[in-house]
Amino acid sequence: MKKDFDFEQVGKRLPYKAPDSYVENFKPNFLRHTPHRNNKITIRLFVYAAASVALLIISSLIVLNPGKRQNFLSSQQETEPFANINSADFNDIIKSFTDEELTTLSVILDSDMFEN
Amino acid sequence: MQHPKDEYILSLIGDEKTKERGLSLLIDKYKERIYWHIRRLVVSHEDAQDVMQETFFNACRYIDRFESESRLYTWLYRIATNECIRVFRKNKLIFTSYDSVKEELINKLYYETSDESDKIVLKFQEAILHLPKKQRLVFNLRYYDEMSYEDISKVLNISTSSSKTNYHYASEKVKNYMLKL
Repeated sequence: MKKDFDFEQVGKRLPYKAPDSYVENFKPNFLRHTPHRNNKITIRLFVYAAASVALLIISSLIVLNPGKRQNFLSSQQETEPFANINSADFNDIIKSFTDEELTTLSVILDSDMFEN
Repeated sequence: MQHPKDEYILSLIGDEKTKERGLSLLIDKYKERIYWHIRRLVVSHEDAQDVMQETFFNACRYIDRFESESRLYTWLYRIATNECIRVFRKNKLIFTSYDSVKEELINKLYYETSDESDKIVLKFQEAILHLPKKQRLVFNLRYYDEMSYEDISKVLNISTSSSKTNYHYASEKVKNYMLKL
């Protein structure tokens, strides 16, 4: 015959114990801590809100400020054409100068303190 | 001690002037039942303490959202159970799987109880801790709290038939585990 387990052998007994008077004192302890928790939540919400606003301002300054972007692009455009000039191009530029312009250039180069 | 009816507690909470008194009565009425429900699920007193704080803090915070069609005690059990599940999820991140969480809970069971504890009672808890999560929740609510299947379905947000099926499988598994003694 198959054995069967009788739940009545255990009933509702538990092997756990709560520390003395924990349950009785739960309410006063809980009420003592609750106002601090409410303050903490309010502070946390305020910090999140402030951080979100700051992030929004910074991202809008970067994305929506066309003046800064334009300056940045134009300075790039100013320097980039000279970066690709090789010696053949340079000779072509020199050849296109008039005699007068070449004389002025040589005077400038002669007086350049870094060159001499 | 005779506790006031839920309707009376809710009527006090509904009025700003008597809200604090109502919340105080709510804590008095349910603190013990909720503590033991939590303790059976999380095993250690330390975890149970944290979950108790969270449960009653959330209950007081969101009492205005309580819908009078549901029952106060199923609503509280639901908050407490969800908090316990949150602890399991957090532990699962540490222990990587629910099986490891189960092992950890069984270790806690033996760590938290004294040598004088009745062996059959310990073995019975061990059997419950071996159950899959949903079966364990249903079994505890039905066996210890004597909750109806309808109320269990409200606490766990499952169907009534699912509550019945889970309880049936859970008791069979517990029985078989105990017969292996």
